[in-house]
Amino acid sequence: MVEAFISDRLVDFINFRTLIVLIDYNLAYPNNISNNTFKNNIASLSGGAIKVLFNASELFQGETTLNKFEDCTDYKGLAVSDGKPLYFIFSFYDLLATVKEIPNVDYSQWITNSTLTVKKELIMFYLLFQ
Amino acid sequence: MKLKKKIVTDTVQIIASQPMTIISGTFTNNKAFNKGGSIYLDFQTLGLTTSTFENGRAKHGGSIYFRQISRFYKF
Repeated sequence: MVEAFISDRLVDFINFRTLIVLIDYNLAYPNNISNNTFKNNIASLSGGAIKVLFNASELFQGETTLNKFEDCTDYKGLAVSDGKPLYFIFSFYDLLATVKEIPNVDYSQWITNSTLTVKKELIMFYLLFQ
Repeated sequence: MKLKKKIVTDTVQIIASQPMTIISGTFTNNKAFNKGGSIYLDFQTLGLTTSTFENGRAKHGGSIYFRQISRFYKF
């Protein structure tokens, strides 16, 4: 109940895209990964092509565009995964563009987890800087 | 650390402890027993452009393994 209440208040008071930029500003390790091709990379456990220990959003912040994933998978069918439920707070538009090129990926799960994660991050941010 | 047009074949793994930039790299048939078939990045920044990773194998991260955390989580 508390979480839902705070989350609703955030949506009311703060511009969504602006808040994502502010969170990204606090990330310590910006990567620039663009125009790369990942083909037939397989992980037996997690992250067919790329595994991020904590938060995959850090991997994709900054100029991270136009990467192609072909036939990359782990046992869940994911080409990219992280240590916790997938975090892609950087941009939902980039997420959608990337996922379309990754075979055997459960679209709905990625998007759902991302949405939930963003809400959690927003709550933390809101509470810390009040 | 900078690598330009570096062709790496067979089983080679780069373990980076400093910021690393790779431009037009080709990583083929690299395998790791556990993490990062081609690259294992430890708390550092990676710049990766126009590179190709093919046939990478590992338990975690067939091509690249990022071991990074953010300041955000240190609050």
